[in-house]
Amino acid sequence: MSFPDIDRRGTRRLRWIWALFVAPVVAAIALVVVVAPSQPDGSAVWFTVVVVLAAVVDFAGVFWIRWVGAEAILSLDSNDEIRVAYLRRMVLSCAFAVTPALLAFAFVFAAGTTEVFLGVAAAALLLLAYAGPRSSDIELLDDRMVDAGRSFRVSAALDS
Amino acid sequence: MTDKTAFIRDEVQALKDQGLYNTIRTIEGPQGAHLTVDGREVLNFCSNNYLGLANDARLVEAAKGALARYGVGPGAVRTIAGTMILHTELESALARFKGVDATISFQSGFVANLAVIPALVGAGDVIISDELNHASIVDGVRLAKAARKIYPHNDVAALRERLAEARAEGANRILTITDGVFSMDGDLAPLDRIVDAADEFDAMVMVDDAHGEGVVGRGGRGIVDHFGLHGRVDVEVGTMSKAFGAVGGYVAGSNELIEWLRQRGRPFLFSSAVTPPDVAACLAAVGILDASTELVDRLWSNAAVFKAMMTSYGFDLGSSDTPITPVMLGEEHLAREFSRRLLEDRAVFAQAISFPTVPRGKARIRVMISAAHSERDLEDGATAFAAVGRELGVVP
Repeated sequence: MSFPDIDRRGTRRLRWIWALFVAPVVAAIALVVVVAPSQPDGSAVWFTVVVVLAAVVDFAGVFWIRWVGAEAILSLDSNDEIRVAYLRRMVLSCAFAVTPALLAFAFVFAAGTTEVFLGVAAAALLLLAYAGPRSSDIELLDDRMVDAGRSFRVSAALDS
Repeated sequence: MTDKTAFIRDEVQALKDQGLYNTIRTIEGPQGAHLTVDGREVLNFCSNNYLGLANDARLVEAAKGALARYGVGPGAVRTIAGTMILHTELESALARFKGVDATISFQSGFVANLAVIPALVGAGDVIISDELNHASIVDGVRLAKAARKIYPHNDVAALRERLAEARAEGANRILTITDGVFSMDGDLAPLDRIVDAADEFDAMVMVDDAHGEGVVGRGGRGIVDHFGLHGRVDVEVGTMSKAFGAVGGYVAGSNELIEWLRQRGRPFLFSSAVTPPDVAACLAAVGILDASTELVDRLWSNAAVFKAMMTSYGFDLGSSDTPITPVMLGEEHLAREFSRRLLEDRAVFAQAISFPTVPRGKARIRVMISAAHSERDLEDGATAFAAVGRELGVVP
């Protein structure tokens, strides 16, 4: 599996990829706020259980992917490898953050679970901010590189 | 009771398991073209003693004289009672030699970088640093509170992009930092173009010329002199521990810069000064370089002779512009075995450099040529390389 060469300038050019994940959540929130179903139907409890379970699993997955991804990045050497590994970590963790929100959205109009959706969507946005491109995240990885006797390799890779 | 330092054993074992553990050899005599290692004389291709001054009789006599006159210790930090007349004489001599307003000396070049970077930039500022800059710059950057941007090695177009970004993001001050000579490959920074780019964006330029002082420029006056950039580089960091043969570091620049470092350079303020014999030896070294280009000329001549011999044997010497001669071997295990055979079978001490110091697949033996080497030494060294190279299938 190959990813586009997102090339230079640290987090700057990663933001458009990250925005692709943020956009549907924001759009869904807007839509639900404008056209909210008036009452939940009888199956709302089951839909809520499904959404919450999915959210717990997927949100935990965000942290797991970022941890595994960081370890992978720190073991790599070439700029190309590090850049792709960083992108893979970001895209996968953002995808996991978004999925429960989209699932909850799908249930809003079927079961009227508006509040559940809004709660999950808010959590997803918070996680997207955490999992998206952040200078502090790159600096943390760089510091770990330096502690291992190397240089600012992640910045160098994303900037090269 | 738990063993609170057990983690150290684990970490050291991990280094050993990963092949990253440093085995430190002890030298049993003075520095020079030949060393005594483990009771055996070997040809020295490892030291940064570019000009052979580390055991020069003039430096030794200067140190002895300072010992007799000033004793062994400085007694205090520079700002309290540790500034001796030798320190100010050295700083004046260095300023004359470098063609700058003033200099300030530190305990080492590493310490000089730790002092100067946080003193110049902080929160709201941006540091733009070459990806291959020395560890002391990396640590200086980490000490500073400024944001950091890294540009690909010697890529001035990319540097210009980072400068533009920093300006667009509203950086207060911008500090561009590069090594003058990159020690692993021996290549020079394109300092003239770096200065032009920095000027365009009103950014400061700092060059760490640890491997350029005493080597490049007229009579070893460094990379700023090499490119004729006097007055256009804001900060020059140098070391007395390599070509100058002794120990210590310094920063050269404007009067304002040096005055500021006397007030805000934390190692200057809070760590004892360099000892009188060391400073006297440094002063003697500057005098020798100021008086004659003989040693620098011999260094370059030796490097040219050695590189020509090695090239004729078929070795890949990378992209060095300086006497640093990387013999490119590729695989880590090959470099280690090459180095081992040189030392054990041929009495040539030349260290393998591998990951993480250089990228994987770019392991090499770094040969450090010195003015102290005789033609015979260079021939013996190249012949030993060729013999081991043939044994290992590196050269035909």
